[in-house]
Amino acid sequence: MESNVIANAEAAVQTHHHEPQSFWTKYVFSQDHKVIAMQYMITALIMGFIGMVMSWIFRIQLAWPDHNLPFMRFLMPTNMESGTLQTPGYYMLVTMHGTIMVFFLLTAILTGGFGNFLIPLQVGARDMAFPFLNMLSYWFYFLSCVVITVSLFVSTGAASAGWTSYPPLSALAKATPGSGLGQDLWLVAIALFIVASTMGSLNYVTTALNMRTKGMTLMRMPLTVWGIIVAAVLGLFAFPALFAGAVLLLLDRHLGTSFFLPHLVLGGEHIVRDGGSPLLWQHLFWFLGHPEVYILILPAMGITSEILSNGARKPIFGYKVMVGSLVAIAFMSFIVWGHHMFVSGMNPWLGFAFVITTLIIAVPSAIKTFNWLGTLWKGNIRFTTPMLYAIGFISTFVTGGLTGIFLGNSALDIPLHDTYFVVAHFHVVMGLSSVFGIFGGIYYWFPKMTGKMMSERWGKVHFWLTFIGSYGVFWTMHYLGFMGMPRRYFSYESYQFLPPSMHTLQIIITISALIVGAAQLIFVVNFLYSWLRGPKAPDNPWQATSLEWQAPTPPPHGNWVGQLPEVHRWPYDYSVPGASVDFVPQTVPLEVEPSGEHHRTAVAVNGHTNGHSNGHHA
Amino acid sequence: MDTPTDTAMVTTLEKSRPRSVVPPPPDRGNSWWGSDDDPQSLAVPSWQFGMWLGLGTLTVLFAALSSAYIVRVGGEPLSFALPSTLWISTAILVANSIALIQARRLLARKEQSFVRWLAVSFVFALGFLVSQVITWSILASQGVFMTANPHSSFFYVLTAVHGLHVVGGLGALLRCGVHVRRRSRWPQLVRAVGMTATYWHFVDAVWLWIVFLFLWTSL
Repeated sequence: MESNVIANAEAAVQTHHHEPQSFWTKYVFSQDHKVIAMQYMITALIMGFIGMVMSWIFRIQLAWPDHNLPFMRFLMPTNMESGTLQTPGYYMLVTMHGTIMVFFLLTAILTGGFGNFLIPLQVGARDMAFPFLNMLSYWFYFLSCVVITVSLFVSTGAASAGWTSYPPLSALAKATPGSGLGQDLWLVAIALFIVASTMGSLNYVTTALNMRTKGMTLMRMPLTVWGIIVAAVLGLFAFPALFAGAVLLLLDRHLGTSFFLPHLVLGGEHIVRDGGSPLLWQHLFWFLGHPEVYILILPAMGITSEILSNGARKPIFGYKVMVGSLVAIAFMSFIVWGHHMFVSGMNPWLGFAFVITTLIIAVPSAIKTFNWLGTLWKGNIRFTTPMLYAIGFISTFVTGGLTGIFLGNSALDIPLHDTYFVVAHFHVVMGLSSVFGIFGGIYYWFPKMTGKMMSERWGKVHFWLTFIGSYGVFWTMHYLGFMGMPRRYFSYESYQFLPPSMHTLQIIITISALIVGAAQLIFVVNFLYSWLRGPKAPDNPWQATSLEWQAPTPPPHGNWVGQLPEVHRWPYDYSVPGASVDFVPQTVPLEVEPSGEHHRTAVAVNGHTNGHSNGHHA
Repeated sequence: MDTPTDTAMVTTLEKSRPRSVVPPPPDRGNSWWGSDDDPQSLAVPSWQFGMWLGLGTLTVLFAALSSAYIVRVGGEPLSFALPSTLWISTAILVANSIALIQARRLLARKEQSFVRWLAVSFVFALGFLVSQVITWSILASQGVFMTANPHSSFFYVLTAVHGLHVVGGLGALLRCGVHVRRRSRWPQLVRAVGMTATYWHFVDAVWLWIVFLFLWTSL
């Protein structure tokens, strides 16, 4: 008894010792994964808001070319002096919109935000494996955000060679205004971002593999953890290629090397370079670029699986196959990068090989889709806001995936490549799907993160406006693409091959985009208001099974009071026949409640799937 | 370990995990954060696993630069003679790895003389940087500058990126020195020296690869 008291006192002293005390170490230079997660999340959302406002400006230009909007001068002092967007400004906005959305919003929030928050809580660890490295990761990310934002305000404007920054456009300062200082800052920001992402990813993978609590075997990890760590592995092994490319491009820009620059004549002036290959950059870029889109989609897939199972009150269908297909997609993503380069004049046989590998990715993707539908089948679906977003994810992923099969064929890609069809495809499959995963995740875990509930009513308004509005944008864009509307055109009125009806469709797209934009304001207000004034959240508002819901809300420093929880079952024990409630947390021993973990096959064969037997067998 | 009731459940429901024959590592980091007797962790400590992952990332960095080199020169033979100082650099780095193996072995036996080998490694690392600077100046005196041709461009880039990693390795050795000076506990020393040695072996292997790459393209 006495020794117990001493042990408790010692534990208290230890906890006390570890808990940061000052404002700076608690909220700013914090090493607590939950604080870092919120830092990542809020910074990324702010960056995403900036990226979204950029899309409004160039969408207005496309719908009403050269329309004068005097108030816009305040948003963009350069390139929009008179309230009319100038050509360099258009390219700058498109470039920065892509860069910010792909790296600084989606990558950052999915791995940095959700990865940081969920991995330790869902595997039962007190924190990340390397808390100091984790803190550095956020601050490098923050620095990269500062650099990319500053680049918007340099006198020559921000980078404008597209988010892919193809040389020679991005390699010669005289090529475009944005290829001056703006492009240098772009490269530096990306390099910093890669360093940040690498430090984070090392942590996510190590924590999930090495810090699991007792009983948490790999095959008992929630699919969110699987999605995030597979994405982190992709980041670790793909980002260095872009880093190498960025170093070489900086040398081409400033030290006169010819890695990417062939001999060129620019404005009548001979560029003293020889033999460099612009295609080399494309290979380096897309060796990252393709895994990058899976870095965005895999965590969103994990989040969707988690929410679907919870919202349908059913075990996820085919758990092991879900894990297997995540890994298969990740592996395949390293050998398909050439499908971004079908129009670069590559050998048709090489193109053919890339067509095959690309189409094979459809197999694990389809397996996942059918498993999600199988999870929904005959479920007691609760149409909560996170559930709506998870279902929305399936919708956008299928829509975008189908057009991906079109574009994966080089014969179809070549005519479609430089049209709006490609823009529509990647926005739906990679942009929208990830965004739906993110929103689903935010609505789902907001109670655990902040201890408050978000408004369900406004969440649903946000969902329907976003869902319908997004299809308004991108369905229309697919049509425009088929009609031959070229990408990257600042103004298209003087081209005979474009019928006037295209202008109407452009206006429809812009109006839809503005509606979607307005819907995001609802989200922002809901998020902030709920955080400040929302009703207090219970520990487990969604009646979920995974470990984070068994922790206090919001979880204290160290996540669990006293001992770490012990895991006795997988995370998808929903509607287990014979159980007293329709969800059994992972911490409940098997003597107390039965588990479906090892009986899924038998149950499926006997037809006793969930739903009807909920809670009546105790 | 498992409580008696748990053991029964585990044996009926879970396959026994094949346990590594290697004895558990001396340190899993801070005991409060880590999970010393946790059956769900890897056979290696987190710092070692994290280091391997990080080295995997660096491998891709050098692989990307190397393949860019191979693609860019397109089978053209090397356009300059490799300075013989390159062999001195190579010998120094091989010796450096041996010194660190020795340091790690002595530390595992808790012999204080491991510090001497860390110092030897530090001197080797400095010596490597000096020999690198000499190599560059020999090339420069022959008019082989960074912009001269694709071979020289990549030679400077690869050796400079590698050189930065050598500087990082010097930092790691200094960090070990700080641990020694502060009389850190043995597990912390094992961890610091272990990480440093693993990292240096990687940096040395990358150097051998770079030398091989340029010898190969000089054929």
